[in-house]
Amino acid sequence: MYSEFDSDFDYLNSETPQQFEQQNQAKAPEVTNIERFWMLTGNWGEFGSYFGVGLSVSLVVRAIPALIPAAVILIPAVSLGLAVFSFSSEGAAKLRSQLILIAVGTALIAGNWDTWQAWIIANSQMLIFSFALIVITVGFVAAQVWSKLSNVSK
Amino acid sequence: MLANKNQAVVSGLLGLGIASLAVATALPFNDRIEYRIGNRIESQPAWLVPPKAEFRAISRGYGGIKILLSLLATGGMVTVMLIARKEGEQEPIRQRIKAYKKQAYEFDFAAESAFSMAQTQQRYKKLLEADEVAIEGEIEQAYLESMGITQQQQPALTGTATLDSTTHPGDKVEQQATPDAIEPEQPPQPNSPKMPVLTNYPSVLIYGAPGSGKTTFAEQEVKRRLAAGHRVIVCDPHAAYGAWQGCSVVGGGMNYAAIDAKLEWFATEVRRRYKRIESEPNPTFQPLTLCCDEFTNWAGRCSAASEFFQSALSDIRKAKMFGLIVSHTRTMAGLANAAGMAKLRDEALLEVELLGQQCPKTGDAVPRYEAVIKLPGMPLNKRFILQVSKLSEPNNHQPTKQDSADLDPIARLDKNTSVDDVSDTQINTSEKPSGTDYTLPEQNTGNLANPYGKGADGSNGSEGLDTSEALNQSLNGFLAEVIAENLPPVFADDFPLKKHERRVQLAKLVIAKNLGKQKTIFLLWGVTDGGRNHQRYVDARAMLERLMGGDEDAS
Repeated sequence: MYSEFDSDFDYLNSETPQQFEQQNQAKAPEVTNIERFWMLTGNWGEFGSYFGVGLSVSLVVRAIPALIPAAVILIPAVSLGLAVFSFSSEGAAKLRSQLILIAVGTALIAGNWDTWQAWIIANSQMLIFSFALIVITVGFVAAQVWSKLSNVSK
Repeated sequence: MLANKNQAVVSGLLGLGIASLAVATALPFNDRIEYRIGNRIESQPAWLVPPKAEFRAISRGYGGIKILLSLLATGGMVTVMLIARKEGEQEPIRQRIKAYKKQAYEFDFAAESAFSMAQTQQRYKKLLEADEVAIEGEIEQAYLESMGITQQQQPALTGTATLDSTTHPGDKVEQQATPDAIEPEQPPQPNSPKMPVLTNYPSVLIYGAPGSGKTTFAEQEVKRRLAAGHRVIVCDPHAAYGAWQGCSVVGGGMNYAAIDAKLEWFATEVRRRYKRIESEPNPTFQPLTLCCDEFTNWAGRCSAASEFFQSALSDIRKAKMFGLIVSHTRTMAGLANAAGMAKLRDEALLEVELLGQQCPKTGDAVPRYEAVIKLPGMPLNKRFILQVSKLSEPNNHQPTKQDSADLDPIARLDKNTSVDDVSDTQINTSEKPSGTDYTLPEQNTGNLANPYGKGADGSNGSEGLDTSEALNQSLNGFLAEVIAENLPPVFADDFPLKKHERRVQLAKLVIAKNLGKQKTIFLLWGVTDGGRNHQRYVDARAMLERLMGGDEDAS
């Protein structure tokens, strides 16, 4: 990087003028390994922070059943607002909001797996009925569309 | 290898945080009740246990641990994030500082090297100066010894710089010691150096700066050798008419071919004499001296010069042959480019370096009448200084102290020419021309009819000269000095010839040399063209034309 002591332009070592020109153009800043380490740990630390916050909040809510109604209202509302913000923003803010959504969503699902499991078992009949209804409906609609499209192509 | 201690902290915290989150995620939160319903055994939280189920067991949940772990993991992850972000921002700055430190170290190294070199240079410079001082001290000591002041007396001179210092009580120069130290008439010490007899040495090198009196010294030596019965051949490419009287002069008019031929003849003569030495018992030879003037110019022009120089250093002594070499320098480049002869030169050549000085009146280079003598084989720092007599003949006129600075060149005139005509007595007579003798008319009286001043009235004598032949010789001597610009302008106040007729005769001789108008006017009146001198130059030119037209007295 600082191989030349007294000059930034190593014209003596340039074999051609083009090489000299390229040498003098603005170079992209080189990223050192230590800088990569800080970026990686910084990003995973940020993800872990959001994940931990989501997990902690959800667990606290489970520990205090009186908070469940508020959480059931607030968490979807905040998530929806954050999703809207993510769509409308650019750059670092967009990335950060997406990261928060993913981290918190993951924490809510993974950290409360036992609750989801119990809920699925308790509502299995309704879930099966809903699944069948969705499959039949989507299958019917798809068949109709496919039929119409097939007729058009003939 | 970790570049930063925070790397370990961040890595550890990150690992713990991930592990804590994983554990907090994996553990079940609520208590679970294992029950049997029908022939199935299931495990569910309490609120999902069917009423008809048969209780079997209860497994505890880990809600508290999960919350605690998640909170700790969250704190750890936040800490990791903050530390990593901060370090990531500082890292480029840290690397720039590192680069600056590296540059500073390199510069510091370079500066330290330069400082060390400067110190070394200073040290060697001081050593060199100390050496020079030592050599100068030796030369000064030799000079003082040559003046008859012994080494024991020299320390007494150090306190005699001022009159006050010599009279002040307690001064280290004792009253008794001072007269001995500064007594000028003290007879020379037996061991004080004297001018060597040059004929005892086969080859003598006379060198010095232009104007130091080399040719005069050589002429004196030639006269001595002629008187001693030598046959003297002078090779002088710049020989003037009538110079080197009594000698065979070769090479005048820059005829280097003739000099080359004479050198070859000299070599033949050396061989011939040695053949006689080989074949005859006790052969006798007439001593033969070859005087080589302007030897500096011979290199590249005389092919035999180098061989002659070598022969003069080694061959000629037993053959009664002698070399008298006059040069500007003692370097081998100035001695016919005789390569590889420096050692022999130091060992076999008697060297006489003549010293010059600047005339305080005219600014010209004039002799100092001092010579630095180096005997053969003598190291350079052992050379000694001697005073050289101004005139070759003891009967000649010795210039007085007052006019010696101006009259020294006259000493080079032939011995038949008396210079009494310029003595103080003559100058002080009533016939002494006025100080406006040579001045231009408008500066004097404005009378163009008498361009040469009142001295044009002339005198009836011959300025102490008895015969016309002697007069001509005298004028020829003056002519050479005037042309060489060793004398003031002919019509100047301080010109040695005071009689106006003599000056006119001399001026005609100068005119006859056809040196060109400007040069002639400069030699006669000291006026150059251009600038404020223009009017004087015009008048001088008019006078020159009248002089050339034969209008001698212009009255």
